[in-house]
Amino acid sequence: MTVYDLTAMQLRQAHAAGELSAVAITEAFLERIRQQEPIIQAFLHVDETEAIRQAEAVDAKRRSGQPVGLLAGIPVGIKDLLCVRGTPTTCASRMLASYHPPYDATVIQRLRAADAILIGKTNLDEFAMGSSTETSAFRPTRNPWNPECNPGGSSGGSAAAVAAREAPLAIGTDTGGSIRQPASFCGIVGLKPTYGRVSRYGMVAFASSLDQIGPMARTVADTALLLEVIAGHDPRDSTSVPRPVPRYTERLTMPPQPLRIGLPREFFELPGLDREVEAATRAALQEFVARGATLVEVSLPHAADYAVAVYYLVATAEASSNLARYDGMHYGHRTAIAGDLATTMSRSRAEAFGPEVKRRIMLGTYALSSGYYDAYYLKALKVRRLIAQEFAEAFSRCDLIAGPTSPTPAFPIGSKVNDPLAMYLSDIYTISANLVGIPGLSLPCGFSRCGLPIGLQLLAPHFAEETLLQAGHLYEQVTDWHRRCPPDPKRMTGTSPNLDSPPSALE
Amino acid sequence: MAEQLNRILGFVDQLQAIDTTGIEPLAHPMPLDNVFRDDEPNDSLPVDAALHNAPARAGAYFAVPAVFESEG
Repeated sequence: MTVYDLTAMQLRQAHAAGELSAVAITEAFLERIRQQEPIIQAFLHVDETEAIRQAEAVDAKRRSGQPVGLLAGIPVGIKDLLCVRGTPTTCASRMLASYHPPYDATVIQRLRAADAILIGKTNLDEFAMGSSTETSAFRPTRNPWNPECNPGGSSGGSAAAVAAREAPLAIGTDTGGSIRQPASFCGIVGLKPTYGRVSRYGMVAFASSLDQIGPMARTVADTALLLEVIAGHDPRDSTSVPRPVPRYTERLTMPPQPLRIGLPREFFELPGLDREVEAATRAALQEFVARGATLVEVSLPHAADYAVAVYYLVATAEASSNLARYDGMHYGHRTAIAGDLATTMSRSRAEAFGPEVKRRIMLGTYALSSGYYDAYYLKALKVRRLIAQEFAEAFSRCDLIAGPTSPTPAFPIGSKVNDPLAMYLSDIYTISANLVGIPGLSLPCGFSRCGLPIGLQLLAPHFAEETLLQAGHLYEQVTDWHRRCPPDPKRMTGTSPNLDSPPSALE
Repeated sequence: MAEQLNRILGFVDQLQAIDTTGIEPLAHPMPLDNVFRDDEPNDSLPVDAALHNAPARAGAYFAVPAVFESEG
């Protein structure tokens, strides 16, 4: 087995046993990145010299007999929405094309303290606004399973990097499904933690009541490992919760009590649900039943019918406020055309924001404007309460809620860019977790006939990440979807990727 | 863009049909109280680091277009 095929847990063991140095591990992944990137384009920035320097420091630490961290020598890809001191942090936007943060996000500090190797910054939809990584101002990322498809989004670069074995671990962020949907599209594991579980200090804000940072990996154990490192209270993020962090990696074995899994009737009745996705999801549930779980029917009518509408009012309202800071005065793009203050601000924004960001700022500003506030923003917050109540009621009868992560497998690049509403509906199953603040896990649970991965989503009550990871780990023990490796993209060039039965578009 | 915005507004308009009488708005997913800390002096960014990303600077300051028009 080559180095880049090893999981983070295996790399840890090999490093601890002295079989692989941090430098050897890092070099293997950098070589893999050089091989894959011409096609996959998962990264916006890779600094090989800096990555090797970090690896040498970890090796020196070990040689000197000092204890090393949980992620010693393990490369981690970082979504380019997190500030890394002195490293470009662009948010895939022209607005921040030359921004170099003067400080590290708390998650980055924690990764450094755990002796991880920050191997590069991964591509995303501009300011995390999108579901396909196509709104990136710089380049699209390709899905390692089929380069004609997108990797999902907004953490599409992180998902593609992990799937293509360019990094064993990656950091994503999830505001409406941006970790789980790309994890599902790329056949990897992605976890959106409970709101407040992970500090957001140094994460560029999109929608502050919804944003959360989380781990992406190829196995549930690796996901648990990365969560263990990044979770915890941070005095610099007043929304982070002062609550002890469980040793997730040591508690992956399911307790013997039978699991009660809730199935939201409405999630399976959605007109746009692809039949192969439905079949794979139902088959996955049977694996749980075969291991003693009971299935409980639950009802989430408001979540199924209205979560997307609520989200596109709440998220855009918050985004319009958060993105007001980009005025071209303190950092970020400033227009070269001389003018008065207001004109300079307005021109700088017009020049540097892409169409999806502008669309959301306008929608959010409208939803918050005098005369429309009650009808749009306030109404959305009331329906958000109804959705939260619905989930609380459902969780009184089950431990987990299960369903598909996304209604379809990955879709072709370009197929929905001019239809924002169809793009938004790709997040119909994931959005509620952000509105309600609960954790959600996406796991590989099958493949479509044309070879695209399908994801199973498990949702749990606030702070029940442990249950999610245990259930996911159990499923992984009896299936091997997570062991499949995408074809080498080089072999796919020149041949036409098999798209004769494309995933049904959700209209 | 205008047509797309109209379609999105048409889509979110479906919320108007829901009866939300007596329902409190939920602005935040977790019950949060104000978080206070002691007012203690702490390290802050050095001036050069704070100005490093400025599109224009004048000495130790951000340089910006005039805020007030001169004839005002």
